[in-house]
Amino acid sequence: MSNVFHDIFQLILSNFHIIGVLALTTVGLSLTFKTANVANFAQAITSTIGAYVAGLLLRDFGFGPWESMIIGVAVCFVIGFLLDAAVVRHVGGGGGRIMVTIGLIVLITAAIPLVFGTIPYNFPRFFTGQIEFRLFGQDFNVTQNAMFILIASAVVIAVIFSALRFTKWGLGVRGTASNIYVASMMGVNTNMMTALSWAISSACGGLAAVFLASQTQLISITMLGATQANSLLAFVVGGFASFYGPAIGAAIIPIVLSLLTFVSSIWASALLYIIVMIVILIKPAGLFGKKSVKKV
Amino acid sequence: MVTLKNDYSELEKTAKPKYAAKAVRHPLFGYIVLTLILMAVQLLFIFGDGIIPLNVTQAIMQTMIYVVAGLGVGILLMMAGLMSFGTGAFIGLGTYMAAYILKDMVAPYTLILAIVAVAAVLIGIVVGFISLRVRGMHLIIITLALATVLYTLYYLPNSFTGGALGVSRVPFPELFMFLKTSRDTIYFVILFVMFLLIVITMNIINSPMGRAMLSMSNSESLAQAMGINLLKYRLLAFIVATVFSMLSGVLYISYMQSSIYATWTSGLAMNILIAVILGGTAKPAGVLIGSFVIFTVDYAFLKNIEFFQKNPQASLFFNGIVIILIIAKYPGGLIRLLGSIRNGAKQTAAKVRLYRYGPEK
Repeated sequence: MSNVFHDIFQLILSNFHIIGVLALTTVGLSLTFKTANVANFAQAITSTIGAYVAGLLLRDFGFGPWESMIIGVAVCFVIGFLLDAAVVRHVGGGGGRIMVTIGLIVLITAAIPLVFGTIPYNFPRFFTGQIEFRLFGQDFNVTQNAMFILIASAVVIAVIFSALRFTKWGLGVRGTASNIYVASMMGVNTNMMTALSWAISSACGGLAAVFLASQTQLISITMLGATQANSLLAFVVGGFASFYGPAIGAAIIPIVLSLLTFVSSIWASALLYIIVMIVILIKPAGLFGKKSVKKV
Repeated sequence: MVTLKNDYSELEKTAKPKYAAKAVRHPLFGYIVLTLILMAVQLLFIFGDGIIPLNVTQAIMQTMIYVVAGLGVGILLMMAGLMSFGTGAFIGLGTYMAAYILKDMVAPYTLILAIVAVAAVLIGIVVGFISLRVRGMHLIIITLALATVLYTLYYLPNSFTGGALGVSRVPFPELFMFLKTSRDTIYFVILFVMFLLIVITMNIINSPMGRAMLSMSNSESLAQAMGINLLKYRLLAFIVATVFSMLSGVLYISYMQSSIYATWTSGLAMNILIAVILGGTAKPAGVLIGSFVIFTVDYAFLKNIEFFQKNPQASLFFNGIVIILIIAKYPGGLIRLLGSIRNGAKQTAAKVRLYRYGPEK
């Protein structure tokens, strides 16, 4: 019994970095969803560009991992801003915007090998040590890097949430999210708010991509594929209504997934989807959402 | 009707071109011409001794198979405004069912199509009842869930799907119990089925059901106020899409002779969705054009050009640019673009006429 507990807890510990990465991408996803009203399917692939840039700087230009990370995230910030300003803003309708993001997936997936080559890049861990500790008479260990990713993600998300709560930018974003027309009538520059949300969401994704790369020490096109799918799930489970709901969803999903992996490794993702499906059917607004009534 | 005798000759003179014009203006005219052209391509391939390379007919065949699924996706998208990522999994289900029937017993092709269609209706009803209570993002997630569950089921070792190895060496089907098909002649069968389904799609679009779904996609609340049962029509659209996808699976297995789980991902569903949106959902022609751009051009033509042989990613890159441009500039798809080009040409011609002959009196 205690052995099973040890294995499960150890499995969750070894997925700590995934919680951090997923929380970052999900918060980014909810930012763009609430302001631009689009489920950004291309977030994973735009974030991968950031990781590639960081990997390239590290390999060819002699930058350290920290500087490469910052520049990669900055590149993602710019890409996100330009994406909204140049493309997404001019597309009407939610369905069309989703398709544009899918078109972006096709475009960027093809562009990355043309620009960065087909060989996957390497990325070192920020911290190489292990944290070992004893709990209830059992030994556990977690890599320092995973712990760092979790804490850093939590800090970044806390900064974003407090900015949403207390700054003028946050007020503008919340206004845009609640009603874009009224917000623009009240003098909020909704275009700027949306573009900045895209930029920040993209930067969050880039940070997540670099974090994941530092843990797996590998940068490839498909590195964020599973994260993208899971962040959509976390987003839906957490609910659209609030900004913090998706973040909590992002913490739940990897834990549930590790539990399910313990039950059956082949069925884990299918079971996860079934559970999410049941949640959606019982609570369509998500675990932390309110039911919204559409007015004519 | 009283007509003077000497008027007959006049009538005949004017009537003849009218019939021709009527035939050209018939909504199915273009599709019949296309079918004949595609038939001619295959005949040239069989008898023409290398005029048409193999990869062209292969690409056309593959495109036709995905067009069938795309028609269903188009109905679901335009009519009901629903986006499904489960298409790939349903095509897979169709292939496995058809393979199961083809391997064990001698059944005419029409019977196989009918059996799979009936099964698809049942599956569509069950899945639709579960999933159509929600829409938008939620429906995408639920269809993704379905695709993942079915993918896992296909992958697990069992006798129905063959597990990780898939099913292979499925015999070519027989038409009406006696006419055996081969790799060359199955083309005509697929072409015929595709044409039939295009006709059915056009009838669905113009039927009361199609009108109801169109009004639903324009304004749900208004449609509801007019007495349209939303769930019923969404379910109908979903069933149509499921039937089309699984029939496309039957066509796939009867040409490819094998089916493996790795093909039936949500990525395939995404490609079909891209093709449908790129082409435009207003008419079956849009689905045809979109599928042609996504599935045919690369495989049939660009593979022969040296630049694209060296950079296999380049064609995808251009695809991505085309998709984004079309969706951003022409939300109606390529079919709308062609329409506006035609209108533009007409307007230019009118201007030229005005310039040369002066204003009409």
